[in-house]
Amino acid sequence: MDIRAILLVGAPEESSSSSGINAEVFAGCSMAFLPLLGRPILQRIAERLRAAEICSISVLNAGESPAAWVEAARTTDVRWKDVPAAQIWRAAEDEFEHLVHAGAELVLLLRLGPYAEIEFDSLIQCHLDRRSHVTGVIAADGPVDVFVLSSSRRNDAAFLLRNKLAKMRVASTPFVTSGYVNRLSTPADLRRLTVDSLMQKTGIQPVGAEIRPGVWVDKGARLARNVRLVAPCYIGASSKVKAGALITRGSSVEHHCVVDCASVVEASTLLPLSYVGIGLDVSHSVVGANRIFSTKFAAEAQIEDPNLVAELPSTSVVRTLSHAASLFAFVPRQILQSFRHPRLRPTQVDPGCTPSNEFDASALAHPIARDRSLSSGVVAGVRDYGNQ
Amino acid sequence: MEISRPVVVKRMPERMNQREARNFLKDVQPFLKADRPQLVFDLSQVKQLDAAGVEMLLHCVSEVMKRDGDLKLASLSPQAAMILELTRTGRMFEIYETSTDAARSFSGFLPNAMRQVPAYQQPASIGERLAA
Repeated sequence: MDIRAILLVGAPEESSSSSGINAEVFAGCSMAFLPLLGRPILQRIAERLRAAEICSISVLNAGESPAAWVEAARTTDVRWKDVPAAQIWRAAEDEFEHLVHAGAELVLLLRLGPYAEIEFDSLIQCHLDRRSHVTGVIAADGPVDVFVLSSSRRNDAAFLLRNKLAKMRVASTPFVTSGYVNRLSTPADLRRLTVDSLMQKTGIQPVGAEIRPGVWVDKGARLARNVRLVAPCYIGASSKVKAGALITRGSSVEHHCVVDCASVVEASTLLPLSYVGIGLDVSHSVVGANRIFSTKFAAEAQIEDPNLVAELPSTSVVRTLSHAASLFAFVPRQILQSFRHPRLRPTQVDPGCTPSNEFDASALAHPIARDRSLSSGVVAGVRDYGNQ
Repeated sequence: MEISRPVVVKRMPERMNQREARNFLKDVQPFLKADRPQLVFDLSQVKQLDAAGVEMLLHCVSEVMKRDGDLKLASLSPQAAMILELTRTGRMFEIYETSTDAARSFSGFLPNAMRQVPAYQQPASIGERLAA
């Protein structure tokens, strides 16, 4: 049987488009393009479709996602169309027509959106058995924007698409899925999907080798000797985790990230090409494209200070040049800083005065700050994680 | 006899980059130099806080502690709270929900056990509760 699929990316959910909330997006990028344990979510869904022997997949992209992330998600074996957001539904109608002319008997329509592990074989069988025009899929918490359309029912397909998947021309019994469903409405959902995948509650397998139970490291990742990786966690391809860093509690460091010395990444996701500065504590967050979303505070912030969080150049040539430039600039910068802020010399100790061995109770009354000023360098040294 | 000292509440600007941090520090410098200063920084409007801003906060708390005073933070915006957690500096400050709570906390330093509680507010003993 000829079954083909249309994936809609960047098409707003009916409830969010009416409320004006821009859900299913992080840092201006549709969640479907974000990588999850080494591979974009879109590719994960396409893999599942291919596993169900649905080999012809069309992707209609209406989002205004950054080009680099879209390119990373694009594969040669899918038919790809970039369309304006306002015309996504019209484009979907045209694509449906095109697939029907090409010989499709059934067309599977998926809006991404949600990540759902639907039993496609059962869904198609259910659709055929009931002889429905259109079969929708619902999960325990509501519809998941996945439909099976019979190719002979063009009017039903057009009605569904013109109503933005909210209404069907002829009501039919929906297929109830018992598979894993994640709405991917907010970055917090992305975190949940990452943790669930690391805990093997989903069908998503991290890319790379499992070097220890629950610790996956992809090829080209560089880990300093005294780095601590606490399972479950994932380190993506060509990422660099520097000395004294700790990656723990279901964290995912995607490809080409850099975690600088003594930083802690706890229950967080670092999206590709993210840089985390020295001695930072990234916890319960999604970091990427100079932005940080905290699941704890349910807030997103733009970080403009490259010492804290930055986005690395996407091409390797530019990355190498920027590393070389920073290396060459290091020595002059240090010399300049020594002129600006001359290092304090230690106070001269009178050789005649020897320290007494008696207990000085007044010394305890001195606040710590009197002896040494509190700077971020001092703060970075304050660690309370395990053996760090 | 203890004379109550003033508590200075200062609202931090929306963006706390290097320039803003310098200006803010200039503003609060006289209060930092006072004897046993009591300061509250209101961070409700802070949307962006970078390393210079955090450095400025640390400088302020350092100066204040040198003079046996205290600096407390209040009404942290989620963005400010995120940066303080990211840089591990949040734990160095007393943080309050509102500026009023922070200001009030300077006078309420006595532990609960030492406070004068009116007789009618005192909790009943187990025997009295059982009798009731």
